[in-house]
Amino acid sequence: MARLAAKRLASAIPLLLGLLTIVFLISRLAPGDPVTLFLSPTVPAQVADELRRQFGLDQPLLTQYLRWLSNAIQGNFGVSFSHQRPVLQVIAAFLPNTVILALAAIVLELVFGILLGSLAARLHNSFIDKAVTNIGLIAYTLPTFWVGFVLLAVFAYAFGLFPSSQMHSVNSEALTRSSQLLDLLKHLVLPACTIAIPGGAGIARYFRSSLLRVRGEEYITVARSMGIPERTIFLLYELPNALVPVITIFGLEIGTLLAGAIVTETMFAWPGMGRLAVMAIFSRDYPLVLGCTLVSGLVVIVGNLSADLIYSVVDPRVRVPS
Amino acid sequence: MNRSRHGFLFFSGTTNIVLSCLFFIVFLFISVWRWRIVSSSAVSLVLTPLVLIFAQAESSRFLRSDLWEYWVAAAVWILILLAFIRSLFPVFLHSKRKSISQGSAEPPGPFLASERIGKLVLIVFVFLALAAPFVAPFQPSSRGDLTTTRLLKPLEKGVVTRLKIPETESRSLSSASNSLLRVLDEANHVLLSRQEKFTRLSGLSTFEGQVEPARIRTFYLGTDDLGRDVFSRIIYGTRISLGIGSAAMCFAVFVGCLIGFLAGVYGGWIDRLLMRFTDLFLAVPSLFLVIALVALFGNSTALLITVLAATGWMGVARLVRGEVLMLREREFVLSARLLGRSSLQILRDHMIPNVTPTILVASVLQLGNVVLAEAALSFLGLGVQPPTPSWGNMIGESMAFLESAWWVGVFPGIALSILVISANVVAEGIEKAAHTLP
Repeated sequence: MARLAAKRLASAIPLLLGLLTIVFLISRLAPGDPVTLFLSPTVPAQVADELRRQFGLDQPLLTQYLRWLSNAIQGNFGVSFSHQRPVLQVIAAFLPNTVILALAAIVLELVFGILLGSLAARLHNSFIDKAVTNIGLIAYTLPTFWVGFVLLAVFAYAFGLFPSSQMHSVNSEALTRSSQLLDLLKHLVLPACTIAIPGGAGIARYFRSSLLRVRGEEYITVARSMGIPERTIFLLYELPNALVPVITIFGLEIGTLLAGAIVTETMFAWPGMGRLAVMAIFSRDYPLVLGCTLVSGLVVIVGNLSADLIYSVVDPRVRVPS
Repeated sequence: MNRSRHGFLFFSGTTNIVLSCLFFIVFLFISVWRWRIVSSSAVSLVLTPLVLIFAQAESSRFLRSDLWEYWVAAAVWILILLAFIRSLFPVFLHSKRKSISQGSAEPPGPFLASERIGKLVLIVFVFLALAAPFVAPFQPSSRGDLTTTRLLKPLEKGVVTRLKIPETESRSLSSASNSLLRVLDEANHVLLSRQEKFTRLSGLSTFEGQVEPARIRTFYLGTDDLGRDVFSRIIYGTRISLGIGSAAMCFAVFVGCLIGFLAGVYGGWIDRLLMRFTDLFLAVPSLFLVIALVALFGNSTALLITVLAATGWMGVARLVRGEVLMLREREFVLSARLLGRSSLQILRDHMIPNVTPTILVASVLQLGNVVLAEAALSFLGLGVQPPTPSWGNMIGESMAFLESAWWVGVFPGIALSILVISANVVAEGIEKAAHTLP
């Protein structure tokens, strides 16, 4: 187990290095160096050259790269122009909000995905099964911002059930603890559903086919022939085994979740990392944009890694060396 | 493969003939309804090359780049008409094969029907993109009188006025002796009078005498905050979505195939290196990468296509590699190798034909993904820039007045969803068909 974990960790390191390299290359391949980008053209050339020397931009690319790498590993991604603070601090202030949103979306996705998926599989070939697979396909392919748009139009504007933007109400400071939490939940419903509807539909479809596959396995037939009641078979044999592959899908889903968060956060003015990245582009805050890209890549790598590890804990077959 | 030749337009089989007939009725309806534009475009398309050949002295006056979209639309129109005429006479053209085609008709089934509808929807979208100037009732950025046409509800009527074309510029030739030139001039005049620059906001006293009489027109899907027709903008937006989408899709599929084949065929360290590279691109959420690239490199159309392709090739590469690796173990590849075929021959004769269905499925799926990515970017204001209509930026712009005018954003969203869903349905259909083949 420990060896496997070490192996997986080791395989993540080149990925990390590659990610850092890509971000460095993007920042260097962009037209114009940072100094010409951010200095007004009226500044004398001498001053610009002096600045270039100070930033180390006159040195060979390899030296710059190595220095950038060592800075990045130490968590120093430069200073955000618009926030006037280190990039990492800015991201650290916004990331928890994205995590809240993502967690809420994950919970919704899992609950509805597994419920609908197992319902469809238990009633295989019934009307409900067909509805889940077909509507699921449609919901799965819907663009995130379109789902958000419809939710916003219907639930926020037409019926006025949920607030349309932000994370807290204006007067939330004055509220008590519990009503503050309620306020947050109310603000959370629409953005979380926006992310969870396409994602949950995907999980429902995947879980359904996974359950159907498990049902055909021999150990289920054995259990059934031994006279174990259907309910027990479903809860103790089918469900856990069908859940295992969902873990992998989930690892892959994290990237989609983050990408969905960009659009959703912008749409609902949710103060998270996705919206931060979009705002950073509009204020031409390149270090912050690159920092967000880097952090999102990091989250995905860590997510995939942990999904892999969880998988090998849950499914012993992976651990056996072949 | 010959089966499709016997069908009506693009299809064969009963369901398909019904669908194709519907399509053709719409085609005829538009031809009659917009007869002036359709005929002028056709005349312009046919006569412009003639003028270029026979009356070169006058050619500079007629070679107008702003008419190209009408030429494309007219060409599509003529092609569809030819296809129709041809499908009317299957007996004369393929009398011998007719019996065969009836025998090999596709079995009807609920899934196949939905796949056909998906296929038809895709074709209709391509048709809309190419023939947009014929189908759209207005130019995408023409604004009516803002006092009467701002934020009209679907099916509401509004007053439209437009400026006349200055007679001196293009009508001077009407008295020309050459009848060919006169006809072309007349046609171009009709087309130019539809161009956006002549239909700007008007009805003001400064334009007195230059304004055509006001007309009341229906806006089928309403208008946006600038009084532009939503229906026309959706149709012109198809062009952006499908144009950028298919270009980026082709690019991505090409890169994906290249990397997938290289990795699969050569194996060893090349395979490991390329797959690491693919994993790396998969690790960054593509939208973040796209945003970073767009932020630093700008968002011209060519760059948008490159960026969307650069973040979409990984799935294809993995699929192709997996398929090639699997094929390498198959008996027929092994025996081909034992027979002394070179690896290039094996690639050409055994690998590529067997991987093609997978690539086809992946590219149709990729089309849907790229269209979505473009729409998401434009929605955020980072993709196609506002005066050009794209479904994404229409939805994005409509967010500001969603509370009062839902229709501005809802209809482009429906169009987008239909396109993406049908791409997925078609991809699923191809996949099923490929797996049931003997």
